[in-house]
Amino acid sequence: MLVVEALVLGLFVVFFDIDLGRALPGLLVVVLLGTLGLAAVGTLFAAMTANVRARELLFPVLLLPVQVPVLLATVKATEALLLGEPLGAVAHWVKLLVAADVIYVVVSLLTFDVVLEG
Amino acid sequence: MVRALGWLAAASLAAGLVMAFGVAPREVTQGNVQRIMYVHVPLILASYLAFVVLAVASLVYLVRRDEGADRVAHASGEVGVMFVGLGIATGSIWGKPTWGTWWTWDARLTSVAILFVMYLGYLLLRGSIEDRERAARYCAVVGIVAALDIPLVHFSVYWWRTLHQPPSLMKPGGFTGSTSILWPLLINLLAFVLLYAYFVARRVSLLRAEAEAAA
Repeated sequence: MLVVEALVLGLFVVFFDIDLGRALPGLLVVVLLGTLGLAAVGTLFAAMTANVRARELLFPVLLLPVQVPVLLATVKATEALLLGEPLGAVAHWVKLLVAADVIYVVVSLLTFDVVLEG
Repeated sequence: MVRALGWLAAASLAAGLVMAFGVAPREVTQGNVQRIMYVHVPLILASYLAFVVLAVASLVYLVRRDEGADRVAHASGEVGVMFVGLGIATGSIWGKPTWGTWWTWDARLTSVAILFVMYLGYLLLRGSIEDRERAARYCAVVGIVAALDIPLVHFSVYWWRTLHQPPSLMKPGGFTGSTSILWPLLINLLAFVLLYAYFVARRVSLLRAEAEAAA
C-alpha cells in the first residue's frame, strides 16, 4: 500500500506539476497515518468477508462508511498541505486521524482472534 | 410483560401525539410543519439508543458467548435501522418546506446517512452468513467497530459548515426553550424508547423461536 502511494504521489508531482518541497514532511505524516487506519480495519473486515456469500459486494459496503473519517481527514489534510499550508493549520484533522488510528488498531488487534477462530 | 410494554408504548405514543398537537405551541415562522420535530427528534435519539444497546450486547456476546445477547444485538440493529430510516424520511418532509429541499449534503445529514449505510451493512452481513454462530461473532465485531466509529464520523463531518440547527436537547448548558415544547418532546421521546423496547422484545422472542425451530 505504501509503495503504491509513493508511486501515485510521484506521478502526481510529475503530471500536475506540484511543488512538493515544503509539503512533503507533513504529507508523509498524513499518508502514514491514513494508511495505518485503512489497513487496520481493512484487514479486519477482509478476514471477515473472505468466506461469506457476496463478498465482493459486502466488503466495500461494510468498509466505506466506517472509513469515512479516515478518508475525509486524509483528503482534507492533503488538500491543505498541497496548497502550501503548514501542518499546524490542519492539526484538527491530524488529531482525528491519530484518534481513528488508535481506535481502529486497538479494536482490530482485540477482535482479530474472534474473527479467525473456527 | 411484553404485552404490557406494547400497551404502554401505544399509550405514550397517543399521549405524545396529543401533546405535540395540543400543548405544543405553533411555531412562529415555520407554522404547523415544525410539529414534525416531535416525531423526528425522538426517532433519531431512540435509534442512537438502539446502536448503543447493539454495541453493548455485542461486547457481552463476545465475552460470554451468550446467544441471548446476540439476539438483542440483532433485534436492536433492525429496529435502529428502521428508526434512522424513518428519521431521515421525516427530516426530509420537514426539510422540504423549511429549507426548500428534501436532501442536502449538510454535515449532520451526511453523518446520519453514513450511519444508516453502516448499519445496513451490518444487517447485510448478518443475512449473508448461514452459520448462526459465525454470523453472531462477525456481527459483534462490526457492531463494536461501528459504534466506536460514530463519534469519529460525527466530528469529521461536523467540521464542515452545517445547515441543520444545532442540538436543542443535549447541548452544553441544557435545554433553554419553553417547557411547552420540552414536555411534548420528552413524552414523545419516552414513547419512542418504549416502542423500541417493545419491538426488540418481540423480535428477540421471534429469533429465539426461529433458533429453536432450526435446532
